Amino acid sequence: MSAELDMQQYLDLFLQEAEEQLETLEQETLKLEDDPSDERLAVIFRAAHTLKGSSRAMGFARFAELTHEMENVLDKLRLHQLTLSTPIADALFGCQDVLRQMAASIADGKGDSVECSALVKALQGFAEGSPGLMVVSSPAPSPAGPVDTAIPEALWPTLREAATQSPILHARFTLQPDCVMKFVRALMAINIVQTSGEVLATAPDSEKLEEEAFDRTFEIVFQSTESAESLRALFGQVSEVEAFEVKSWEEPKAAALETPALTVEVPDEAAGPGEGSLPASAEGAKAGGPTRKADSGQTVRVDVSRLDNLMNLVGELVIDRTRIAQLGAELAAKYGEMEVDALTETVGHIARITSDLQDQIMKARMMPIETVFNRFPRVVRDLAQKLGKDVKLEVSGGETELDRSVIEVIGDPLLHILRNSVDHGLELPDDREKAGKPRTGRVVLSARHQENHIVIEIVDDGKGIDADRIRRKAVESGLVTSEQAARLTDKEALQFIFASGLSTAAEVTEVSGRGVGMDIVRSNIQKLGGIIDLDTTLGVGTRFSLRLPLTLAIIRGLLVKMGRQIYVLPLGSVVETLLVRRAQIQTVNQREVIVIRDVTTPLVRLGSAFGSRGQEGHEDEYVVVVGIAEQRVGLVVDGLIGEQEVVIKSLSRFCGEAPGVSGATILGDGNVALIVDVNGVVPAGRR
Amino acid sequence: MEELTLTESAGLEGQQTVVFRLGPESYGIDIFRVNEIIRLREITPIPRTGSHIRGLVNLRGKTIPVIDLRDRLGLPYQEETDTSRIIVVETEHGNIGAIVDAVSEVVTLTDEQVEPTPQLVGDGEQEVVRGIAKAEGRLITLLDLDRALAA
Repeated sequence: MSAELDMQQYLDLFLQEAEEQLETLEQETLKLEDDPSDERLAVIFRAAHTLKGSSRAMGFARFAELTHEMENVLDKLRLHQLTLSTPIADALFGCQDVLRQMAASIADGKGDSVECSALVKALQGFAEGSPGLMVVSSPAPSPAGPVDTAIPEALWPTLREAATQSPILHARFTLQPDCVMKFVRALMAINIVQTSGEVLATAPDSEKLEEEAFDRTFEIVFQSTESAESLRALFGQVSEVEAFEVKSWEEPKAAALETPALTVEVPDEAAGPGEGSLPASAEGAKAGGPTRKADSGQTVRVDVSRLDNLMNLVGELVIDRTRIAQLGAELAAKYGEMEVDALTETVGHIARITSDLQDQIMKARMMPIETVFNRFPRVVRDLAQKLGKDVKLEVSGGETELDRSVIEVIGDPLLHILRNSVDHGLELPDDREKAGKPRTGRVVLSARHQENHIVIEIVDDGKGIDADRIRRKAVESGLVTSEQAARLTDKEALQFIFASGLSTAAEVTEVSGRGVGMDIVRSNIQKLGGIIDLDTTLGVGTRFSLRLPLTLAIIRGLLVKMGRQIYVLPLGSVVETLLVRRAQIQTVNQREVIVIRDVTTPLVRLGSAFGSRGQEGHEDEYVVVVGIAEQRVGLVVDGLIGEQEVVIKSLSRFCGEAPGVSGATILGDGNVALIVDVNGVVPAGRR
Repeated sequence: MEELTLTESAGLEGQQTVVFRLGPESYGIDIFRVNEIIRLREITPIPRTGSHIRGLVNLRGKTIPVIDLRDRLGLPYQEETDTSRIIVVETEHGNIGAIVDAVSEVVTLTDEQVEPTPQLVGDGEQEVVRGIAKAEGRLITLLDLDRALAA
């Protein structure tokens, strides 16, 4: 993937998010005047904050500056250090307008070059407590007053720059009131300019000119090799013009906020005078040029809940598909293959279509994980600076896709782990040097698909985690007695960093004091059906690995029989299945184990774990080996049924905690089967 | 809804109550809380949950928990019979099914027919009983559904 394509993708995402947040800002600010509740202010504040963060990450300084000032004012409002007045509300609306213009300008590939210094000043004034001195009132259309041009303010800097190369002229035309072909007249004037120079900007823009969406006056700002004098003579020949004037371009002083939609001709570096092109229409032809347009028109924004509904409906279809296939097989068995041939064929077709449909809807919900990763480089950089550390963050696998529902919730846990790595993991540059490491610490963030899962790893080359210190902390926090702590293996001791009430930071820094703890991180990951694990070597570094399902809606499962019940084991946790002779099962410490390829694997009878009796006395036992972190456990079941895709239905909260059960599903025969949570089914002590 | 006989009642006032049986006694719940009444079907038990939770059933593609009202009310266990039904009621946690021995009828109860819970009712039961109604010479124990279903 080329760097440019990359940027484009980020840009699209940024624009989409900006659109969303601006929508929120506008809606909520509108309601704010009637109902200035704290919750509402908090929503607006968050929207501004999000915009600030993402625009900063994208390097749009003005956008970020403006949102930053908004945030300041909103913060004061939130803390009741400032009360909402009309001028403040006006300024907030003004900001939204400008931000929209900036977003439009960015989408057009022109960056956030919309003038906003007046607004910034006004906001700063409010934040400093000035009651409502507002220099600019927002959506006022730029009047004829002190502003003597309709050329959008956003274009002024470009013009300023162009003026350094050759002088710029400004022509203003007023058409006769009865002029019938306004666009043609404008085009004639533009053509005159283009025979000897280049149009830099028009007001209104070329589209509006073409639609004749203007009153009687239009303006052209251009560079020309001809003198103003000879141009006047040429302009004079354009009919239906009541009056016109040509003078050199002067940038107006006052700031106007509301500007009409804008186009600007960015003179091609190579193109000399006389080689001009018509505005806008020719713009697209300059492919690969600096003004690449962000393609924001080819997507439809759909409410996530609709996708969820679609997903549920497809889930029902998947169930019925299985059911129909079973009925078909039953009929075939009863009446013979030939008799139900057509049915079998149709069922097969429906099955394929259902699978495709399911795939497509799943894909519609998929997003590349870089939408989450994108915000990290910036965060890590800032954090490193604050801590006085040199950190290099390497990100890979950002294109790995996963379900939106997972994307939404993994951002915070990942961020927390990253912060931990930078804050606690990496050493200060001097310490690193003493330890014989490069001064710059490395944090590698990567994502990849592994079967039906995504594996995200965060690896740092810092000092590692000292298991002994964790033991001490665990004892101090009263989580274990010192005897227990001493018996723990390092691996077990390290698990305590996921326990609540244990801060591993030697001193609480500003960074570690905030946000969620590792216990929350782990519980969030487990809620998603994921596994978090860590691996650390003192002095060498720490690796956190997260294994998450790609989706929360449908999983592939292994159906097993236990007594009268059928259970679903998520295929992601299944390592292998074995048929074991009774004689192969040994006991260690009165616990059943088997030896698989020289590894002693504990056995857990699913029946007894679930308090129901399985069939006893088999000569052969079916064992499903599952992975819990890196531990292997063999689950003994009565029988294996097969692999199947199942739609996850969460357990009603009414059922309370059901350890070992993560949800339920409906099988092809209409019966309910429980989905086994492998983490919960095996008591921690038996692993 | 099958097997329901509507007992005509004079006034429009009063509360329509679904009457069902658990053993020899009649119980009643507000009809507005009842979504539907279904025949018994395969119930998938959920291990390691309270004994009053019988398990999950498939209700048109959704899984809903089913509770054992007998267990909840401290009545002795009894095998389900042909007349056993699952009353599906709406709660804040979504639909929940309750197994009863039989659903007998819907009656309209006026306020005069309802008496507060007498003291002699056992402690465990009192909190889930809203009152006792007299209808056609029978006593109907009115259940406070939210409490009766709460774990």
